Amino acid sequence: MRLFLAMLAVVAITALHIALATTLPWPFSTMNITMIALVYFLLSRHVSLAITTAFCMGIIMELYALTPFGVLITSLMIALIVGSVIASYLVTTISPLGMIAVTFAMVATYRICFLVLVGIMAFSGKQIAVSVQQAFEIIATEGVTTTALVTLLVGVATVLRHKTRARLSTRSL
Amino acid sequence: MLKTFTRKHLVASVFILLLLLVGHYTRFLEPLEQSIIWITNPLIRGVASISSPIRTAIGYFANKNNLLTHIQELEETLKQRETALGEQTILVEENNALRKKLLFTKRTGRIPLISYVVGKTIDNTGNTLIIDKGARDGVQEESAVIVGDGILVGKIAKVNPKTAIVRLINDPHSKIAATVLNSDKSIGLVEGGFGISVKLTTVLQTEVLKKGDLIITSGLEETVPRGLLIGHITRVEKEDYGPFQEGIIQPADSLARLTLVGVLPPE
Repeated sequence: MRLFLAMLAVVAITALHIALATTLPWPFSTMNITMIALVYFLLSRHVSLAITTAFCMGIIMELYALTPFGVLITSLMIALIVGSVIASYLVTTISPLGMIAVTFAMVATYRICFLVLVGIMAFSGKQIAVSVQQAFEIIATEGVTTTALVTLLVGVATVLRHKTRARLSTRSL
Repeated sequence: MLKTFTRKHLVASVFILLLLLVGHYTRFLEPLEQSIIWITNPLIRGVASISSPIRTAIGYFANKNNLLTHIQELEETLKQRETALGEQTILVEENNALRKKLLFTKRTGRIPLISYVVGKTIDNTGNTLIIDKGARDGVQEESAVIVGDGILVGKIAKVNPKTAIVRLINDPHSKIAATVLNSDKSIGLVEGGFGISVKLTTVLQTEVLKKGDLIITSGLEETVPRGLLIGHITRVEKEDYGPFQEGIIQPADSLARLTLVGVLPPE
């Protein structure tokens, strides 16, 4: 049952990313919802779950993408590894700021890997490489919007948690 | 320190990735992929259908500033167009008026001095206009003022160096020698009255005035040439005991909305 619910959550998040986020007006369309879920799993010490989720999301997205199969999953996995390293050695405490920093780093890594892989494939003529300026714009926009969404979610979660704690403390008195 | 990617995780990830790539490109995973699409497709469609209001709402907030800017630009454009339209309308009216005056010039050989109406007298005691031509332009007192193809609207009452005041034919002090285009060729005076009415007076009782008869200037005045149209009779008023009869005149042109007039210099 838990596995089914987890799969459903993964599919739902991916569906949100494919059907909602990408269809929003610019710059909201550049938000990467899947990355937020991965960051959350990674920072909540569920690395295996994060890897599994990345694979599941990656496969679903690959099936709806026009890029050659493997580009998205590879980018996701590399982003996850980089995020994990940053979370382990640079952001040593689990905090809202840490989550924001890891999110930006992972989104940037994901998009850089994606663009590099697409650029490599452009040599074969199957893909069209983007210019450096375009790449910077894409990375910056996606990083900023996704990080902004994470900041918003973290802020809401923090406020709700404090309120809950306050209520519990009052009741205990 | 957070629990990080271990070597085991890395190896497993790379292994699964390679497996997926090989499986995909050898079409070994095609049934699985089709199944995933079959399962996820309804969900994605559902999300897409329910996300429409969200898209609309976010689109509204995202494009609000653009929309406001666009509205402001459109309003500005509309103002400019309205201004241009107003100017165009004025130009068309002026053009028509000048064409008519040109016809008058061709017909009579006289060239009226074209003047713009720059003001009206505000007091209620008279019906006068201020025009932008004066003594420096050759305007003289008592000169006839016309519009269109020779329609008399008044006479110059006062001349300043750069402006002049026109006494309209419906001014109470206005008196113009006129002729009726009837069988008797009746002669009378066109006088203004308080209000907007114009009367033909001092026409003998024995002469026949009819509704619709045209009134023109008689040419008995030194400064007003013969043949300028004044209007037509709309009503005849007779009193049995009086020596004269009167005719109420409808001026040939609206005297309330004059913008461009011609001053006929004396011959």
